[in-house]
Amino acid sequence: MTVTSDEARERSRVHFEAEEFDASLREALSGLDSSPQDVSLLVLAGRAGVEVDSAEAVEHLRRATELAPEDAGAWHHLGEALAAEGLTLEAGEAFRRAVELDPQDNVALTHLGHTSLAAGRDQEGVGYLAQAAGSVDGASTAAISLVDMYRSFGQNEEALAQARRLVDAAADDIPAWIDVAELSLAVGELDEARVAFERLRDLDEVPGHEAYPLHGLMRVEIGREQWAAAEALAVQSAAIDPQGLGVDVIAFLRAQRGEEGQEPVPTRAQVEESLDASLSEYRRMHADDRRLQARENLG
Amino acid sequence: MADLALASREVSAEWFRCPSCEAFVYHKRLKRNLGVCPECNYHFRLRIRERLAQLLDADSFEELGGEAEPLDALSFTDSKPYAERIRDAQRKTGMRSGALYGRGTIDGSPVVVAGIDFNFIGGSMSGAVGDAITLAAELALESRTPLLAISASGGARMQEGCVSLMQMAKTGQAVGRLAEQGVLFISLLTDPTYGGVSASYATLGDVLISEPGAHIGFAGPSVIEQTIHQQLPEGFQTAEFLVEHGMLDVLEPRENLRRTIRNLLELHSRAEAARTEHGAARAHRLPDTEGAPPISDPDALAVTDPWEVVERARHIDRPRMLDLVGVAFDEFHELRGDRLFGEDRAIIGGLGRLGELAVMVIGQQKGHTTSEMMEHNFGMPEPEGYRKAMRLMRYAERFGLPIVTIVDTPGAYPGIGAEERGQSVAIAESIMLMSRLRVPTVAVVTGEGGSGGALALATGDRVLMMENAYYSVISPEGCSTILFKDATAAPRAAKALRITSPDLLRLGVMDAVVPEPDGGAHTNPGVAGANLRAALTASLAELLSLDLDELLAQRYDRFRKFGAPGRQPVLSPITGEP
Repeated sequence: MTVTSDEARERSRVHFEAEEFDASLREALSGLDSSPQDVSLLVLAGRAGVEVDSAEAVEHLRRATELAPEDAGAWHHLGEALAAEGLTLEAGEAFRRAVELDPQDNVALTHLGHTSLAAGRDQEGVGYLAQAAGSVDGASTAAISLVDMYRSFGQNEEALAQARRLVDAAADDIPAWIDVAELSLAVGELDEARVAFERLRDLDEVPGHEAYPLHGLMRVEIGREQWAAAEALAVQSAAIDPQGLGVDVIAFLRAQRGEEGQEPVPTRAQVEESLDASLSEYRRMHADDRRLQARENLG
Repeated sequence: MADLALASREVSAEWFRCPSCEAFVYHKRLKRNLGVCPECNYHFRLRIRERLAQLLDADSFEELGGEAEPLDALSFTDSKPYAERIRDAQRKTGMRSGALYGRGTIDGSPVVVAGIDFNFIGGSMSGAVGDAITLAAELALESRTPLLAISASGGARMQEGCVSLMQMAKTGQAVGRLAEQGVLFISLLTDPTYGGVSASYATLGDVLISEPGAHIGFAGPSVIEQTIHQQLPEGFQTAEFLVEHGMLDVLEPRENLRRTIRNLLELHSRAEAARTEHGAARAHRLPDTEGAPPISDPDALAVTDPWEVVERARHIDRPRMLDLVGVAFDEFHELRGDRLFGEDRAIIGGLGRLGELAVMVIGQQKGHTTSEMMEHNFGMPEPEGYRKAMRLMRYAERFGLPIVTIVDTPGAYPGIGAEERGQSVAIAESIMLMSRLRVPTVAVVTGEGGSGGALALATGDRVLMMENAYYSVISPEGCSTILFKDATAAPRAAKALRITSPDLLRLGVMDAVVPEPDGGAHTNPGVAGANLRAALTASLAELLSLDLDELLAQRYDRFRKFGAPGRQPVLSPITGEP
């Protein structure tokens, strides 16, 4: 029975949307047998091929862009196929072409930002990401990456602005709250830092993580020189770790309030360094959260 | 909510920044690379279903039992009711309890699998999580199918109080029954595994496997650091740290995990099949061999000057344990660690295959180059080496695996640390354990057989030596200094101590000798290995035909006769020299 390209295209599309990628690829290839220059079929074959790790995916999409060099979607999907192969520079060129042809393609713009970063063109990449993040309300991949990049550049105010957007859009986004907490602490927005660490205390249910937000809160109160409040937190922290968590901090805090004890008293710099190290460890523990929460990985 | 927000993002655009090298990686590339950063090999955490998809044959997983609903046995409420936290976690993860179990296959080998998803309240051990692990262990026991448990957990679930605590006992006893009945339990500890999970079933596997960089421990690092008020060592609580401290058998990159587990399953399927076979049938699993047969008549052996034998035994190019294992066995998979203190590279052990027979292979390894010899401490084991050997012997006993030991050591390491950690006790216990093992054992002295450090691995049903190996209560140099009062009299001492293969055959210390190529094993390691294979096959064929009582009786008698009047052969005096 002869399969028309229209039928094949429709079947392939239905399978693709149902995430039946093998079937989608099969249908697209069968349509290409009779219509090898059908751009839509080539794009479907390429997109489905990417999902099933087909070695020919890139070639189908390259062919599509050759046949339809003004088709922004074909360039967009070629970029994704190349990025999946790790051909980041080539992918960047494909995304650049996609954005030129369709300036409204925010996904391609986000990709372009990331491929620029991967190529070491940080300022250019951040520019694209800022443009992409500015085009959508709420959270976006671009905004998440912007937080990281601004942090790397030491642009804490800009990083904090993006992190705030993330927690506004997703009130239980722990990595974003960690960013807000740390960045607001860094820029001296201590009230905001306190709210963020309190939020983390409530949100983070991982056993063993309980002490970290407390360390952040202690850091805030020490920053405000609220010694009694910091000591109350240190006592709570010690309750989580009865073997002596925060003993040095308590000695320091008591000394600030004029109490004398037996313990050697660390300097403020030592205390802050210790708490910062703890927060750094906390950040590491949540470093993979974004990937774990990605839609493709949800149960 | 995070999940809704994430769903509203442009998912196809997701790029993740590697926490290790800070490279941005496109999510599809990361997925193709099994969740490992292609730039720096950082192993991202995986969801449990993603992990199963990587490890099991496609479409082979049959989930069982549905997922049990977590119980709120305490009616616990903190800032919000526990029941609400469960609902939130269920919505966020799409799972009911955060753990699952079922059956699957890995390259066709059946396995019962249980796994925890870290995203569900930090993988904490609830009653439902404990139930999934326990049900899996019970199914594994009932069906005598290997159990693979995949863990990622922060520890106990506080909101379930002592009910959570009791999961440690519940799961521990369940896997304890597997150990009693000789059903394989492989535990894959992934990043992170802590507290009530690491201190229960997860570290009770016959084989403990992890991935590079995984964090595994009892208490979290910041807690410990502040408790002991000292800087933690580099890599503290990583899988690498655990290997170094003898706590893990296998550390493999993610891309190798499936193959590693498959190899273990295949070897154990052979052991399981052999378990019900009687002697002759089991012996049929042994290979046909092409090497020269072992020699048990001392007069059939070439007469070589004992000091020359010592020099050949110590020759830098003489094939070492791993060289010989590579030729004599069809497969070898190393298992590390004493699970107590350290990983001693002077003793190497693991699962091997001889024809169709799965065996445990344990031996002393020296190496050839300076760096290799340093890595293996010149073949001088510390107590941890002997304790690793004993752990593997008990492993073999649980699964009915015959044991082959390769002896090549100048002696047990005589350092201060070794004394502090009980070198004598370790050797003594190893000798006693070997003497009562309920599986056949063949020991081969392949190079130096240095005193008690050698005997600790050589109290076998059959004790063989290679033609140019030596076996002695003390080194010739030591004897020369102590008894001959002359450090240069080592060749004379070597002769007087009767340390060569013909004399040891006559004394009954050896049962047979593995012939070597002319000039010594180093002249043709391939031939030496083939001859070793033939000798092992011959010895095991004899031993596999014995029933257990007979095996133990013969072994007892073998060592009982030494020094017994009328039973101990006495050698003629050496003539021709002072």
